[in-house]
Amino acid sequence: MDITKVLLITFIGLTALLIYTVVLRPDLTTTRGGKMLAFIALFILPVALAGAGVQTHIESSKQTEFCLSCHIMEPYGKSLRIDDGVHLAGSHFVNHRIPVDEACYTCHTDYTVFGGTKSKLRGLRHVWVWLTQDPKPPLHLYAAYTNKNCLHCHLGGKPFEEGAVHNADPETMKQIKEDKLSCVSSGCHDMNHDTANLKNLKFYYPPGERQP
Amino acid sequence: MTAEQLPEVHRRESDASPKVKRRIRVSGIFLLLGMAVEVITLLWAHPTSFLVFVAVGGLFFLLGLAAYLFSVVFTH
Repeated sequence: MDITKVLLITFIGLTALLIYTVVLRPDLTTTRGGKMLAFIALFILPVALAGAGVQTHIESSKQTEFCLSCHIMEPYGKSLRIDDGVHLAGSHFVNHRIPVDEACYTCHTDYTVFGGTKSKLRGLRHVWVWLTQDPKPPLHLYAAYTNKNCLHCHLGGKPFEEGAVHNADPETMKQIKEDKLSCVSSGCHDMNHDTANLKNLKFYYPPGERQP
Repeated sequence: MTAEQLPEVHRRESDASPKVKRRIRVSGIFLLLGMAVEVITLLWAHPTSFLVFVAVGGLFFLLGLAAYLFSVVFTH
């Protein structure tokens, strides 16, 4: 468990003790000091703790483990372990080109002002779809995957900027940067989560990590 | 000197009214329940945990805060 959660739970425990004291002795609230204590225990601290709870939940929802905790995501989690440079998700994850603890969030969030919020709203939509429509793999994105998600990291990097294919003609680079030529669906980097062929692929697990 | 031993006029000042006491207790209990839900959902790493926290925990928090604010507003 990460330190944020431990600290938050500790604060919750201390606040609970304070609330318990006020609940046991409500007569405390007749004095000025008691009124202040009640205001802090029954209003300020609970509001702060509820806000911190929301923030902590949002942070923990960025974890790869969180996304893969749904059964339907299992093959997608496995595809992250594909040991083949052609497979986009696998090569990013296995080679640690993305933070492995936040792998899903890193590639599937919009890097805009409200990108994180939008991602979380999409997450709530996932739950709604799962509850009402019984989705089956292969899963599909709600909207086309934009180049912004790739260029957030790759823009300015040598392999991207000086890549032979990217610079084959002047229009190609322009179209990629303007999101008119998709990185992942224009036939270039289209091998993503190949969940249909998992049986035929090789996986990499670091030493000491248990294979499923 | 206990509250019962005080003269009537002082007793009113040092004792919270039964309604206020009840509202404070109710508020505290709801807030404690809300915090219990928060702890459980923090320990449960699953997408459903956030929904439970918002729906159940949030409701307890709101009820607790409302009960406390009522006790403050209607003290007199």
